[in-house]
Amino acid sequence: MNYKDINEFNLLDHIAGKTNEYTVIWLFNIGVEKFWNGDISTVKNLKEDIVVNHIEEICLLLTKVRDVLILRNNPNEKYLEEMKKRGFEIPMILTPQDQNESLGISELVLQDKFLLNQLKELSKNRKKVVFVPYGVSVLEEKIAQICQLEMIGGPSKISQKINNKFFARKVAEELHYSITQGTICDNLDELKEKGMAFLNVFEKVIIKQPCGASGKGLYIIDSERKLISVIQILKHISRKSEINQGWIVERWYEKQADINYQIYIGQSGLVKTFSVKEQLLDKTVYIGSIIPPRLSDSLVKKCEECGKQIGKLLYQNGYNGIVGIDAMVTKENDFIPIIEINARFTLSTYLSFLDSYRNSKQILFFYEKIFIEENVNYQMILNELKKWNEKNPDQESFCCVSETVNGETVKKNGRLFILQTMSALSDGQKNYEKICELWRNKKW
Amino acid sequence: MVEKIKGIIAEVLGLDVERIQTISEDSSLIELGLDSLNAIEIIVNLESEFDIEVNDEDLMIDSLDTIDLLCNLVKKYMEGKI
Repeated sequence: MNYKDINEFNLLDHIAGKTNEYTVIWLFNIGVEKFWNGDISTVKNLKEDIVVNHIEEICLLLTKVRDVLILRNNPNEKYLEEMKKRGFEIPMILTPQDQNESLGISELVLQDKFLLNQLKELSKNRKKVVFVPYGVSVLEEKIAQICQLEMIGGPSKISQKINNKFFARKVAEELHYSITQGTICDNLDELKEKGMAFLNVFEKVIIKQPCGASGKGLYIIDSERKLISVIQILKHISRKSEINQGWIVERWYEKQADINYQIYIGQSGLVKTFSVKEQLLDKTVYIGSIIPPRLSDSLVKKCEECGKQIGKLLYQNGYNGIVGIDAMVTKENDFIPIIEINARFTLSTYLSFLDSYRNSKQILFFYEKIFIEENVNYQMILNELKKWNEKNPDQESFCCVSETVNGETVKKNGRLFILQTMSALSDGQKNYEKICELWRNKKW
Repeated sequence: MVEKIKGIIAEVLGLDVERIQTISEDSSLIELGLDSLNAIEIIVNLESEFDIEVNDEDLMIDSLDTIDLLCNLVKKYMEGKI
């Protein structure tokens, strides 16, 4: 593919079906942060990693028939059939031969000569092919280089820089946005001192490690005792980690709304905010989204405007690709446009193009950890959901990822991803809690 | 030792004192909410309570999943100190 083609390529138009010239090769390399910063969680949980890696099927919410999706294994036929029935397009699926669960998908691709050759052939035979990983580290850069693929996202070094929480504060300051009350501490003594000072003024504070995703490296503190315990944890991590860049201590805000907005930065510098959503969080961990958000039009416009400004700044810093930004409205009605900048896909990105699926209805997307025996499969989950749907005719709940409820793959650590459409969502949190309770208590 | 370990687990997982007493020593703590984020908090508290330092190779969630496993881990490091 030539320089002009990649400059003209617009991923949003491709997903929206406005253009059909390109083939996108999708890769769900979740956990990319590990290759930017090293692994900051010191307790390993392979079973949890297996479940997280298998969320990859969520790419099917974005793919087109002519695309290529690299998955760890071929999905359940019934699942593909159900996705198709709901209007999602099933692309060509390629899988690595080795399915070693302790390796990331990019590592599996890189060690698979046959798969690399398949990608190379695609790049040669189809004129306009673009590689779109979840995030860009040196591994995805290597895949692109070996297979001679143009890539959307990155580069790796810039992605690493942008994902750092110090950088997010710097961007907010540079753009003169409202910012959370907080400060950066270079060492643990300073962190303790500042943490105590904040605790004297505010009910709760949050300590953030500069790198980390999915709630890793975030600690909510509500007492001196908890602060000391967290300092101990950070000491423990420091003695095992080569990277000690400091910490952020901030006031913890009670919120009216958690928001996520997504921006796309094209190779030519085009910047577009393409989705604003309300987020459901369990303290600091993402657990779901509400689409469309229950936010005022003016607030949605503010997010779109901030997205444009941030996108321009990130482009000037050398970044292109998808960016997910977390924001909030505090209980005091202050809009904080930047809490975190993710220079990569986030789960929310995959929910950004559901207009035809939701057909003017409201969507509640959420996931719930469920304990399932090895004999549980996707069909059994569908049967349960069918019963739920029959009891709740105003809603339709659909399980949009199959492998994370496949008992054989995830053993007891299942994760249920639900897309719930309904005509009106009066209270998303209650609705969510009601269905979660059902699954939590279910015995298989 | 078991009572001290139970106290640490209860505090980190947010379980009340009566609840932790009803949990058998071979029950899975993962089913009670243990994950890689809060497991490190348990480890740090054990290190400080028993004056031990746990090595990386023991920091696998499956090796920390029950009260029994945590007791054995502490015993191993306490014996190593003698």
